[in-house]
Amino acid sequence: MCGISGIMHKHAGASGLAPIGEELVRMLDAMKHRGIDSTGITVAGEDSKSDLIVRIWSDPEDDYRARFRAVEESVIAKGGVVKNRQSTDEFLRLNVNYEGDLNALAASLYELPGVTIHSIGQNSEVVKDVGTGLELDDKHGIGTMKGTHGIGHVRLATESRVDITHSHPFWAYPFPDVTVVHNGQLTNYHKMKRQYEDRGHRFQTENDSELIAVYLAEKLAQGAGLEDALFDSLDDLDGSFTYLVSTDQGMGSAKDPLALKPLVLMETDDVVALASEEVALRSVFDEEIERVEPQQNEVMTWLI
Amino acid sequence: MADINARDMTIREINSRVKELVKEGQEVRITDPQARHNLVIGVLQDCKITVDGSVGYLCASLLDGPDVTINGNAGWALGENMMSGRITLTRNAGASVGATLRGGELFVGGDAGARAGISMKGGDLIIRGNSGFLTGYMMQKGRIIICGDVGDAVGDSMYEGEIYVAGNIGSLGSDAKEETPSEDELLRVWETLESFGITERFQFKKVVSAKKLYHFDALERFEKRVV
Amino acid sequence: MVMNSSQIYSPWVMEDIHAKADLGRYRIRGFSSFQKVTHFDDLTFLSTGLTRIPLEGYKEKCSTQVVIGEGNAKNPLVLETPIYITGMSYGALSRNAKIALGKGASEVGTATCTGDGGMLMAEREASEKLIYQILPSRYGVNPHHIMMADCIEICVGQGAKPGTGGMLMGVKVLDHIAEMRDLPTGIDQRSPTRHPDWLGPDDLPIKIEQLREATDWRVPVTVKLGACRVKDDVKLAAKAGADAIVIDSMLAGTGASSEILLDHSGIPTVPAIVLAREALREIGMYGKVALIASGGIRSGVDVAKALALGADAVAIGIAALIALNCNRDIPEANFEEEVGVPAGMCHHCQTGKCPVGIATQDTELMKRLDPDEAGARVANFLNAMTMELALITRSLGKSDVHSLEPEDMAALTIEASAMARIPLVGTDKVFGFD
Repeated sequence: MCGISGIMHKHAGASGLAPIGEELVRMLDAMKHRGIDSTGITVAGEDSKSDLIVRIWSDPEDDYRARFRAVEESVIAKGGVVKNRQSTDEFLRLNVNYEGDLNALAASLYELPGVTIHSIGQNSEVVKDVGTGLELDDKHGIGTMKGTHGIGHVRLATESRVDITHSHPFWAYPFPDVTVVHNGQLTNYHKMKRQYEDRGHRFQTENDSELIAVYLAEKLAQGAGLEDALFDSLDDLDGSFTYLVSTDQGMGSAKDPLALKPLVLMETDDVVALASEEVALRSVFDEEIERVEPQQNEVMTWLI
Repeated sequence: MADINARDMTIREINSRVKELVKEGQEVRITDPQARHNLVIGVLQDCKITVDGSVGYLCASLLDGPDVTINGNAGWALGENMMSGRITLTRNAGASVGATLRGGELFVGGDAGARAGISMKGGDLIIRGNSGFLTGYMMQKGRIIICGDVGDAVGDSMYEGEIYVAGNIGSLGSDAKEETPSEDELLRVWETLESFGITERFQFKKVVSAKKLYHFDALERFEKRVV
Repeated sequence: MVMNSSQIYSPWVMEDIHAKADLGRYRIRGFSSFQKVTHFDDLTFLSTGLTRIPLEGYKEKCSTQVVIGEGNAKNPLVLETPIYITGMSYGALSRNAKIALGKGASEVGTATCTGDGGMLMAEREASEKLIYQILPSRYGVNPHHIMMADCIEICVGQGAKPGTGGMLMGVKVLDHIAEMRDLPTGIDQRSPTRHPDWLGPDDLPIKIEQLREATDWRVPVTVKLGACRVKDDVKLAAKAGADAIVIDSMLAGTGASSEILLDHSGIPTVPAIVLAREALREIGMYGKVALIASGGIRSGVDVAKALALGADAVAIGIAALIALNCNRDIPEANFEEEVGVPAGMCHHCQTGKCPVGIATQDTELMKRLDPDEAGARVANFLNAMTMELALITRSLGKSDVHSLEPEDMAALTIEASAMARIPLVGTDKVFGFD
């Protein structure tokens, strides 16, 4: 349960990247009352060509520097080349030149003890931590991140744990660039998750929202369009959900059949922004523009 | 007219200032509300309050008497549980506008979200544009007047009251049925709209309770029905 | 001839199937759960011997006062005894019953609560301290009455029927009740289960702020939960800013509910209190947000056990009704004829035929309950409970009922040990925990 937000600059990329990080910080800070436990964002759109951006978190109780070395060793063992490395405390970001099978690389990292993969992608990355949007900016400098689109989340933990790994956005292991922020609570989560696990999927958390990411990513990998995948989710997921998804192709939103959680949207020719509350949209749109409230069973997509 | 610039004030400061000013008999204008929640709560006297800009959740709620104008959008549950008075919103309303309204008039200049008029217990809710899913859900009394279209499941589980729709009806909810309004009823609806400056003579459809869910069909020994 | 009956298809199960085969719907009744579950009787106190010195059981000062909402509310709710009367609606109960409860509670310096259906002015007048309940139905909610309340309770769920709304059968929805609730006369009222203006924990802080703003932060705002997913729910209510959290167990009563929810949802009072306490500890709010337990509290010693497990106060419903005369074979009543069962076995609140004038809107039946006499019985019962609570507290060498702690008790069964997280009597072992 929480506050979600998303923004896309429709013409960014061609005309240079937009200040997505800074805008998400403003939107999430305006909604911090909806979730005091943690904050997270996905910023997407900066094409790293054949490189992968790998975001790792290691439990600070452990010797996380040793964990980081193990991560790099695994990358190298799979034939990857680490081109750049940055770390902030127990958070690690790698730029990896890698042409092999992503599943194999992701699996080798997944199996490392004490390590959680926050994201792997070609044009997007996830930053999430406890604290507010401003605190996330202070610590991780997310305000300087540029892109075409992004999604963000402030979290009030409901049924799963309060920690960094259980914060949103959730990356759909092992599919690149698919991440989800979700407001609500799925009520058929455990049953669906078991079915996915029986088919060989792996989950990194006990959070219901991670399932949405994996659900969508699997559909996309099987060739479905984003809009179709989102529509299918309305039938397959039960409970309350309003969620946003970010992929390398763009951004989408879906709202449950009973419209139980809020979402408002403002759109101009250049920019579309969505959030749980208008107070967040106001932080990026100064002018009075039309505000739309998506309805039950409504799916929207914006492709880059 | 007393002005309150809300930008650097807490919700507590804004609301206590509003209550102080209206007690002195002043007309109040709030500027720069930044779509914040819980503005103008529990004002129980006749007075005039204007908000220039959009507001968040539960604004202008638990009122009895005030005439409130909001020049902007509103978040969820605008006007919740108003006893009497008049609320005019110039743009769109979020979900649950007029939730459990008990009296007075609530006018939405734009569209309304889901569950408009949920659990309404009296008064008039007027929507100039379209209204969303489950409009009039579990409505008990009062009138909802929609000049545009209404979404699915209108009037679901409603007890009493009337929902007038000028445009298309997405679908009727459980235990709701469509009727043709009488001449008198239409005149009263048009009269209400005129008081908000709407002079078009819309041909309204009327949605009311089919009253099939009023009772359990079967009773056990010692259980009794009184009507 | 074999004289026995099936354990699975007992005579009661057969009766139930026959009834549903006739009715074509779920069954409805009042009172509370019929399930046999672990309860306070499975715990015993370890009073003082040589290690600790007792207080004189009958005289020495023992504080029973509890204060709710200090810090947020200008006028916190001060209860002279940590036992108050839970929300029971005017509609489910008769006017005389509501007045009697108010009088009885006021006599001992504690509170009563409106329940669903709005504030009955006679109840407000009879009650020195009145908690105003905000339920999903919002029947009768009036901002003027909110201003008159001494505390506001947002009811998310009830232990008797968590996850669903209340019921009031048409026989009780007479003109005066229908008018207060804005309903058609005589309908079988089935209340909403979701609040109309907020949904979910992220909206709850906004609703709490609204009620604080409406009352200019004068009175406490509490949240009532049916005890199910206790740990998560309690944390969310605390984070949302509640002054107190009422955790209402599966043993709690009701005037009308579907039987299946009464018996098959929620958890018992003992683990509910323990889980709520642990939830508050995990987020560093134990002692900051008050914990109120309700469901199956019948005596002062039950209160003592609830407090020892971690509650700050308790609320009683059915026990207060029994003090009024519920299920008592008074001369005016003929239980067998009027509700088809002898006194002591009545759970027919939903029929409105209450032979003792409590759970009815029938003016003739209501005359069987004199509000002054009944109020005095409630006051006596509350006094008796408070004396029992103080007595056991003194026997443990404590001068304040809030000094009671889990270590003052032992569990009589393995189940109680696991649920209460205290050692099984005669062992050092807390079952279920290493």
